[in-house]
Amino acid sequence: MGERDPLTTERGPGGPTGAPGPAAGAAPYGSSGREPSGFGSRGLASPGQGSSGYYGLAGSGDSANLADILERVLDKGVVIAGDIRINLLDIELLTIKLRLVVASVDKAKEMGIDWWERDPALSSRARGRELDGGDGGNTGGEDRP
Amino acid sequence: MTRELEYAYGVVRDTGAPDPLPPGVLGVAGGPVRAVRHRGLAVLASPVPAEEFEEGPLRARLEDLAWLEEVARAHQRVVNAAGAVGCVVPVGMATVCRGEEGLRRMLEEGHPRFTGALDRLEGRVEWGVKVYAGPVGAEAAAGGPAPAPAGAPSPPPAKASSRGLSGRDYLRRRTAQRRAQEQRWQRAEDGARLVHETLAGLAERARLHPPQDGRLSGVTDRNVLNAAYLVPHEHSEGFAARVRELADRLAGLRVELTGPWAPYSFVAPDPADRARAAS
Amino acid sequence: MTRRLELDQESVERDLMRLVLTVVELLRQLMERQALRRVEQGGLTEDQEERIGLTLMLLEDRMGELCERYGIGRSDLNLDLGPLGPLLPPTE
Repeated sequence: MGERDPLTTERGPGGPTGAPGPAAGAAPYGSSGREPSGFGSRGLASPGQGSSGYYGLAGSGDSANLADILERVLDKGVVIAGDIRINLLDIELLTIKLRLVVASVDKAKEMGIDWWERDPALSSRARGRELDGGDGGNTGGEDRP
Repeated sequence: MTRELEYAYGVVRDTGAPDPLPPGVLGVAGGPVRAVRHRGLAVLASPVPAEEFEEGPLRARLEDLAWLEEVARAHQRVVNAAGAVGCVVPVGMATVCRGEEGLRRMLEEGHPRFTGALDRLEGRVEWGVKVYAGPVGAEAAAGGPAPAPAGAPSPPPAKASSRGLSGRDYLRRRTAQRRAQEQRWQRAEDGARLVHETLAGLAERARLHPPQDGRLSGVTDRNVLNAAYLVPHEHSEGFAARVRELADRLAGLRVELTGPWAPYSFVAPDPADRARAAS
Repeated sequence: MTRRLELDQESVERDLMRLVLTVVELLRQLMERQALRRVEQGGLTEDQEERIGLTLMLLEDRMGELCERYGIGRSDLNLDLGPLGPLLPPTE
């Protein structure tokens, strides 16, 4: 499974910079032909044998596709990120930077990122500015028994 | 206010056992993971540096995909290790508390939610199933009538073959190509629906995730189904076998199975529930 | 303009052509779609169909030639609009 992490190794954060559109030839994944049936190799790891214990959870997260992991640990997944760049004469004629949408902590609640507790200064500021209308569960503190 | 920041991974039942994790599991930033217990629950956590996880710096770090990946994988690693020995309710990535008191407060506030989730998820695993529409060439090889020299990827086929065509022939050919394309999507969608309906019938719960971005997953084929299924552990093997069967039946589509995962996608993600539970 | 920027002339042309061709390709695809729809509806005479077909065919040929000449691949003519998806449909 050496073909994982094409993002970090080949493209880096921010997506395929300078190469708008689906990066040609950047598909190391589907081409390896290691599983004719199209199964991820972990899918064939016999889950019922309980070799790794009670639940028999597949190996470690290190072998999983980053997208699969982010989707789960962030709950809402992640949207990236490509730059649209049209160069003319090395002048960037048009650059539209799209960033990781996890980006905004204002959206933390939606993304499933929680701060259960803040120091009072932080949380009062946060309540006033960012999380207005938010539920008490994220800012913590005031609902505490 | 200089208590250490604690990064929380997930919540398990406090069974009274000395440690709910195999020894030596390292968390985010290499921190040692241990359990902090409160009222029959235990949260797995490790200390993290404030330079990275204080609200301000975290905001910036979340935009750094390399950083994000590292944290996400560490998070997944810990949850997985806990899930291998018992039921774990993962919390969202980057759930950060102040000190052990903060962690206990989280358990206190979330007590009904966590115990509810533990009850619901005990003995279950999550399988991820994705369906991809194969590339054009694969489809033609799979037996679909190919009206045009489809599959030639880069050189524009029109250039070589349009000589001697009449204008009306050209239009006819383009119509046929367009139809073939539509049929291909139609078939992909039908296949995805079949997969989902079949599997949802076998699973206790099902959840659809948005199709994955190829730039993140590294897959260029179009992702037409991205679903998660909650399956009782004893049916897990049968479920996987069923997915395999379905995959063999669907020409021109690629089915990918991942897991089993800890039941990430089924931790009552409904924010309304969370608000209710917290108040 | 060319005189002042001799050094970069090739890259200027290429970048500019890519920009122009991207726009042209978008229009071409829109026109073709519309033409196919009209033909399907059957409101055109044979002669009109023939002329539209020929025009579109020539346009596609020319696009191919221009792309080749400037070393631009067809996929370069697409723009990734991020959350909005690609400008042109992925497979064509």
